[in-house]
Amino acid sequence: MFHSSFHVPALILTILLLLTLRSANAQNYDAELVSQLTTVEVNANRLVLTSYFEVQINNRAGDKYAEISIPFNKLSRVSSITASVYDNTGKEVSVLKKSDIIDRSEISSISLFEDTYVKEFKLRNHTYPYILKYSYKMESNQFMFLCRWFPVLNYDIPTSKAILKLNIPNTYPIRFHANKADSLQIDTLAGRKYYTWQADFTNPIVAENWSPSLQQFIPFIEVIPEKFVFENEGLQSDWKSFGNWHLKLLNSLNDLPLPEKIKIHSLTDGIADKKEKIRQLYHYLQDETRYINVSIKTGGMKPYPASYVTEKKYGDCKALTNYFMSCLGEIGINSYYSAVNAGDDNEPIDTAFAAQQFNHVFLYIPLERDTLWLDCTSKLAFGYLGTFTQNRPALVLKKDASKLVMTPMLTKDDVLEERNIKATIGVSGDMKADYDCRVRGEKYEYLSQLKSELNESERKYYLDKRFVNKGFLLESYSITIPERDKPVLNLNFSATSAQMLKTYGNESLLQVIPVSFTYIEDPKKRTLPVQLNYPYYRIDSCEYEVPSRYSIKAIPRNQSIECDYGSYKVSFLQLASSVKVVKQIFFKAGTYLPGEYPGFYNFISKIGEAEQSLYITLSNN
Amino acid sequence: MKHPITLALLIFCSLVQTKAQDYFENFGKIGLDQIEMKSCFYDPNADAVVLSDVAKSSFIQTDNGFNILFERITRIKILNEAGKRYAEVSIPFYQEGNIYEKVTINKACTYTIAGGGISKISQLDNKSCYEEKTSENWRATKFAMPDVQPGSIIEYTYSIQSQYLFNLHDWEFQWEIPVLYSAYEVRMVPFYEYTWILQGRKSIDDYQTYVDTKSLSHQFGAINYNDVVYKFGLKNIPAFNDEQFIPSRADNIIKIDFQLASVNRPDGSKVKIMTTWPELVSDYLKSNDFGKYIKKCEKGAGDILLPDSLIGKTDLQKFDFVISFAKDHFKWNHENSQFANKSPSELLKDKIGNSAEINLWLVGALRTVGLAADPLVLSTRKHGKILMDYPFSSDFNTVVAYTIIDGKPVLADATDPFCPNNRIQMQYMNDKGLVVNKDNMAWISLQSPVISALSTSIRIKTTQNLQQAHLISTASDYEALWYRNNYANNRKELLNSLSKKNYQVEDSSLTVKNETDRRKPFIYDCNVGYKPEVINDKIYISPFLNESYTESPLKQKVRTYPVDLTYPVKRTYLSEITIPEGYKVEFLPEKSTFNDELFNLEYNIWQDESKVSVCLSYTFNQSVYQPEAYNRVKTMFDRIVKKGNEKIVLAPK
Repeated sequence: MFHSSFHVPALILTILLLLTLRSANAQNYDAELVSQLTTVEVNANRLVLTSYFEVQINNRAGDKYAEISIPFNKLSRVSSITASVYDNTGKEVSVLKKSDIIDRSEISSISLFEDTYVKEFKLRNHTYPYILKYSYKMESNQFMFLCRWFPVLNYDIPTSKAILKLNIPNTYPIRFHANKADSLQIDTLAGRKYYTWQADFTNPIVAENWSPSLQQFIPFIEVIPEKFVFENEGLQSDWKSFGNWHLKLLNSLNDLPLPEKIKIHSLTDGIADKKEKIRQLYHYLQDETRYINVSIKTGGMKPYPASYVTEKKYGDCKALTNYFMSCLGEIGINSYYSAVNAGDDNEPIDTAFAAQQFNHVFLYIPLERDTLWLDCTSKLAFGYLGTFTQNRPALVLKKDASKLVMTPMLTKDDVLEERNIKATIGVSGDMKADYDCRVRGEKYEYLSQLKSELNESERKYYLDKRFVNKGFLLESYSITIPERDKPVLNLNFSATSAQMLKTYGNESLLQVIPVSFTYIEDPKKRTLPVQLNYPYYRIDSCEYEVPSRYSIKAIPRNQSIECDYGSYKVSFLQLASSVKVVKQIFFKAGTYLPGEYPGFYNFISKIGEAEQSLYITLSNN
Repeated sequence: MKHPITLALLIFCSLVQTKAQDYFENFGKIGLDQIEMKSCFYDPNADAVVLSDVAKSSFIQTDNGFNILFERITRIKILNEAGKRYAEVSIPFYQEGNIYEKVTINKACTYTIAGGGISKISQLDNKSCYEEKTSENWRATKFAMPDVQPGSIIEYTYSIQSQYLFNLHDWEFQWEIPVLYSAYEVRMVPFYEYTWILQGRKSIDDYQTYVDTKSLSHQFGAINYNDVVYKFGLKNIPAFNDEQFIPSRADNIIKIDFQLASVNRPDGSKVKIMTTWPELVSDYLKSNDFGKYIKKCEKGAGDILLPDSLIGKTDLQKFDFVISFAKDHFKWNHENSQFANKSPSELLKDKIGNSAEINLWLVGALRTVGLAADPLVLSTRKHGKILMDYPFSSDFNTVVAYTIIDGKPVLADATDPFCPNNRIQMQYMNDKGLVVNKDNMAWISLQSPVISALSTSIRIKTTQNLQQAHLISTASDYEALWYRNNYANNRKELLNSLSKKNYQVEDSSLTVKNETDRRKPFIYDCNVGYKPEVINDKIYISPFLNESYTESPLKQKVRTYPVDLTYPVKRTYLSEITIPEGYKVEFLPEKSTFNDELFNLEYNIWQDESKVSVCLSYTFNQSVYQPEAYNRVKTMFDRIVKKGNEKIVLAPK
């Protein structure tokens, strides 16, 4: 029956800040990666990788780790797949048949098409525990990485032992980045070098509220050839050489057709100011193009040419960025194609490891007085980067001068959410609250997307989930963007609730609408750092009108908390027939290691407690 | 509604110009009304509107018989930014070995609207069509229309050639956006007879049928024939919206389905495909992968189950023995099927199987131990309901065992080890199923025969600073199954769910009883602590903590689809609050009772010297509530929320 597992409309949004994943069972894991061995061999620029896995499945929930999916694409060939299952006595109980392997496309939900595929199979046993052993071979002639080795099945599943072996000619220079895999042994024999890394992952983790991206906690090794051929010959010794190779991919893609050039001039020729020209052109880009990702060949690194976007009026980040760079070039404005590891979790890159560590591109435009960053896939305000790309290194591509540049950080004022709430009590005792909110930062991004990309019923569903207090029913709403180039949006809505005013004999309690907080782990249970990638700042001004059938008997006392993590203030003002409440909540951005967690926890739970216990006492006339 | 298309009769020849034909010839001829349209007149919030969606299916002669040619032309007006998603198109098709479907994109254009007319036409380039391999046998041709702006009209036409005469293309009239006109034309030949089933509407706005004498007649073998045309058109169709608690989109969308009824050979012989339920039953029983599979299981099971050891046991004991054996020995591979893909001996060797392999084995094994058992075919909730008027085996997609114990019918299903032996898994509780027995064919309700219960009792002790509660929850039947599926062998997840109710739980106090024992209720108990609510020195106590609903799950004002709760349920919350030293009861909520044929609610409260006891219990007597009852269901939830969250006030003496 209905245990709160409601039907959710399909949606592209994944923005909810507070996310809790399924927990691992501390003593008894669903599965274990008992042993993993990957060997990588390079011979005459041909890469052969073989991988062997031994997975123990402990229970029903672990069965999913016996569903194997091996990714491949046009540049990498997978062969020699073998697999068998052993019961707990070590007896082989089944062997994979070739006909059990299924090939299918593996296209990410943001894409229309990608030429990426998987080979899939599942092999299980009916009793637990059982062991699945499988191996495969992958070969490739064009590659930028010798391997990206992540010997972990999932963050909550342990790995007992994992070995990576690399076998390359002496004359083949490599570079690598190793995380949580320190033991390295290098042997030289008969003109070849043998690298052996060992790693394990014996303390699995589960995401916690405000925990950082988990990848940094697991072992992984990335190995790159210093010289490589991927579309073009390239070098990745440092950011400069990597940048040069990357730039070469963009060669002669600025093929704007003549009518488009004329259009661009007609839009900008009459404008003197450089920034204003860019702004007008950016509006044109935002109004006429849409994001469609089609990624084929070259592993999705080379953009479609400017003519493609001109004709189709769509493209992925690379195509749109290249197109817009071409447009700016057409009117004599220099801009720089830049790569970044985007995502609101701000997953760090290794700045000393010049390699393809990025998943998004945008434009860097230095102006006389300031610097512009433009995301060509964005429908948000001109120059607004937002949670997706703020405060992190981006590789700005420039011939012989590519380098990492930090993007600006969202400030306290950039994220301020102001709400004016007017609450009245109806005859039946229901509260009606009218909200008038000015929203910035992450919620501005979220609501913009709700406004422009979702249909009415999805919009209502998500508004209700995120902006309407529990126990309230959304009656009407509007989302408006007063100025398209300012990253602020107006959200107005009305909601009603039968839960806010309760009568107890001669006395009634009117609850002050709380700011809802997700529960936060007890310090005893917390294992991961807290990472707030940008600040949180909100000011609520509310007025509660009290009908004449009541008189105000008591109001809560003012409260104020001030600490290293932020501040919380709430104050009350009693008027003749209403109470005014002003709240200010501020969390600083920052990373707090588990040692600091009790302090942070104390701060958050104090606010949570305060918010749950604000009542105006009324006497019934 | 059943509408057999009878081809033997030559219905009067009408010369009505076929509208569908018009649409195919009118590609690119866009009316001024469509150019100027700014919103859908009956759905002003719509992001896009389907101006017309028209298709026809016809039979094309090939060297070895017939193929079906499905042609479609769709025209959509994009009304705003969000509507652009309808400019991405995905056309699924099927391929298996040498039989295949083939998609051809004939033409696709975007019309840019400016200055009251079409200012630009952008054609889709065929190189921008991609083929995705969505699964082993399914592909999809995908493309994104070029140069799409709010206001643009997109139009595309494609065809699918198919060798699957069983799968005469069905037609969904409804989209997630409004559809102004949708029509489907089927051009029948005398060799195949289909029936059609209309869902979601009582009638077709625009229905025509006539013999196409305008076109040349065709010849197949020695037979000359003209196509017989059937046309189904609907106008101004509302957008289809998913709502909460609907089990199946397939059951609710407005559509027309076609089923092959019979094949008329040119030599005059006839192969009946659509038969009657009794004939269908006999086909099941003759099938190697169904009836004969059961027979083999029945023979083989004796060696494993040693029925002699069961002599003297009651039927119920035998039944339990067999079901438990199957649940403990076989693992379901999560595939639903009515037919076995492997032999009983392979099942016994691998010990993993689909629903048919396991449950048909069950039928055989029950017979082996001397019980009368039959297979019962059904359709899962996701697969949709069975239409009793149409005897098609493809409407079913799985099978369970049906038997009679002590004079009472019992269903058994060994796919879910947590499910009680005499129950079927939740996905299978969908309307009715068919008992496959030659002499005693019957339709049996798949609804839960009992009301599942959840009962929680809470003891609360409080001071000004700390409130502590001891909580015991006992779940039976499907409520227990729900808990087991979510929390069996997963203490941490259970603790997590308690934390999410804002409880501070002492981890070590959590005990779970009968965690995986499907025969018994699922019971857990724990100690929780939390800060009491103290206002003006008075203590406000929520007797049921956050156990009952804190808000209504139903938020819509109106509802077009039934509310499906899967199974009827009774929930009881009993709380006992010790009055702390120095305090007296200042306020108690009122008693309350509500009773009708759909629900029941009881709220009782009583106090003595040292404690207050409160009990809330409510029952949903039905598993499915029709839209007509929506307001009543909604009011019921509001009542539960209200009573479940009322507080008791203790004041200092």
